[in-house]
Amino acid sequence: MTSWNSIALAVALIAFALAALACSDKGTGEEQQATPEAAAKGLTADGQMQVGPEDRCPVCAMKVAEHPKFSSAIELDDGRTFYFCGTGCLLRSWLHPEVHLGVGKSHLKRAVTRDYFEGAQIDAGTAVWIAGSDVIGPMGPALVPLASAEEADVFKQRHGGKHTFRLAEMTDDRWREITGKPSP
Amino acid sequence: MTAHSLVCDAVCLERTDAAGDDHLLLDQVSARFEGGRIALVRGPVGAGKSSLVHVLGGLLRPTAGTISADGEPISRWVAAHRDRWRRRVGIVLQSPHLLPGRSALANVALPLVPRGGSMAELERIGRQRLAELSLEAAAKRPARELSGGERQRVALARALVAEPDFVLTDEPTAHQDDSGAQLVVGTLARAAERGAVVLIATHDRRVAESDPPKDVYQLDRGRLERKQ
Amino acid sequence: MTSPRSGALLGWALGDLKSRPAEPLLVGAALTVLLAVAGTGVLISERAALTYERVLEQGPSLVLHRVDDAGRERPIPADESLSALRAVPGVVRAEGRGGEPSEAGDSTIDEILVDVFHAQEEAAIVPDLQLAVDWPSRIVTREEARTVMLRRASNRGSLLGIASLPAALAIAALMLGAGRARGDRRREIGLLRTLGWTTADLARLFGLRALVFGLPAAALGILLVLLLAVGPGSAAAEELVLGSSLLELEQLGVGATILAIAAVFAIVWVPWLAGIFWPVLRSAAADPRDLIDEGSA
Repeated sequence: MTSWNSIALAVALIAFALAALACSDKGTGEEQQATPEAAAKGLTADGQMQVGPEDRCPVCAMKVAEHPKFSSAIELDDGRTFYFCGTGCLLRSWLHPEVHLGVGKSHLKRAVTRDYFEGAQIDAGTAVWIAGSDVIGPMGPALVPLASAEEADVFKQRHGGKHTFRLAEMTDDRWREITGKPSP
Repeated sequence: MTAHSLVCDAVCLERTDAAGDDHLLLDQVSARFEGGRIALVRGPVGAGKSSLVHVLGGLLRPTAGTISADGEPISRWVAAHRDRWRRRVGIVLQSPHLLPGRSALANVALPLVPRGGSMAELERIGRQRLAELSLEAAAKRPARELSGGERQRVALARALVAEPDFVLTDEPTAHQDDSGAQLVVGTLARAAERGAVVLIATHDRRVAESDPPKDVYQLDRGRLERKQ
Repeated sequence: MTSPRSGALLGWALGDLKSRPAEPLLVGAALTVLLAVAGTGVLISERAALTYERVLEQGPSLVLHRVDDAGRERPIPADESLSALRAVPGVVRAEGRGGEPSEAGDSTIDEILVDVFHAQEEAAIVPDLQLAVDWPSRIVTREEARTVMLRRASNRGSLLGIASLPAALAIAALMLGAGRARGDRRREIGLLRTLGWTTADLARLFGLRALVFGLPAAALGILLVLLLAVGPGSAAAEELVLGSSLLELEQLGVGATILAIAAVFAIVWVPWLAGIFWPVLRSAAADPRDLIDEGSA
């Protein structure tokens, strides 16, 4: 019967390895990684995202094309663009690009996200952001961008929302206050 | 020719009937049945002859004592091993227990079916056994259409089809006329000549008076005694 | 190619069937019917569920109707209603359907289809839609429509599928418990063991017997399922299972079809096979003489 034991052990080890691999795909990428791959196609001249089928979120490695409704982007000054599966990943990278994108803050050029109500692609810097509502994104409770303050009011009436902020306000402390988690 | 032996060592068999009463069917039976000879166990009805055949054939476990075949204590074995051992036994019970819807030939071949071989091969062997007992004509008839005597001979053919080392029979000459009885005894004698242990439990005088030499035992109310 | 050991066993099993054809034929027919009915029910309802899902996905997020006090639908004034709804934040699209067009500008529509961007907005936007129009409305979200349609799709179909389990258990009980049959079977097992058959031999024989009529029964059952649920007979089957055949049902993928049939197959066959093998296993430890004596005169 020892041969059966060896086979069982081997199967268990392989299963464990596969599970570990699968889990690492969905991690929060808190460890330092080598510079992630930029997207195949960057933003268009008028700031529209062009998400390719193989583009992966640099924070959580999910395929962005599979989460089109919350997709967002950051363009660097050297022209490279990164697409994100959700707004949480976008904000993490905006706050700490040296951790998630391998570049300093000075290299960030612009961020694009989608207005929650219409799905239109808007400048993340001018958007009004709401956190703590009942809306769920691909990675859990969503950080929701709206195109205007009026839309933000309507949103809060429908979904609640503990915190309202703009991109420029985002700091480690504000992040901790909003999400309850340590700095990303 | 290997010498086979079937040994009873202080074998007791107790059974509880429907009313809850205990009956001692076999009482300290000790005997050594050797291969190459016919053992004749005589006794009146109710003496325990059938019980002796059942216990020797592994159909029942004795309440006490041991039965050994060729030195192996078969009565102490678990069911699965006794099943395997029973392949070496050919048994004829008081009722023939044939499958009524199947032909005589099919009934005879039955012990061989799980042991390998093709149906054609099994049928060939079966026909041989039937011929030895003058039953060739009945081969393809369904068992339910046979007479009592024919059925008993079919049961005997079935018991001998695998050339077993141990042949145990309970009233094998029942329903036979004189020539039939002679045929039965003669066939059993040939099995003994092969080296098999052959036991005939019967109160039929024709068997006692027949030619082949026998070791004679008397079974009376569960007690066995060697007579000659 | 059968091994030498099973050659004679197979021949014996076939001989058994020839000498006593009634019970196996009956059980085989029952299995075929059971498989066909349950399999068709399950497959049709799965196809319906798939179809409804596709229809819903291509349809609008919400549908609005105007109703009166008694809940009856009324015509909707097209222009003012549509512009009011399009002004509600979150409405990506609002279109009218049906109704009476009119040159005079007072055309009416029967219903309004509204689309939102995020599925989570469907339920949340309803109060604002109701406020936007000045008539009482009944609004159905895609989620609510899905629930109703799926319930309709699955009711009879899954009932048929689930009902196959007690039916299969009944067959198993029949095979196990029917008085005379049980006695006969115990005597047969006792006789075979007296003649030197082991438990494994008996299991092989019973298994072969079951396969000999079970496999054709299963094949026929599966063929019927394919004809009724997937092929030319499906219109009639849809009528039976869903109560109507309005929608053209989508075909399931090959994998999904196989899975559904396999599931029904298992539900039907497992109890039946248990009924076949249980007597053999139970008798394994019994003394053959006791088995033979059962019920004999």
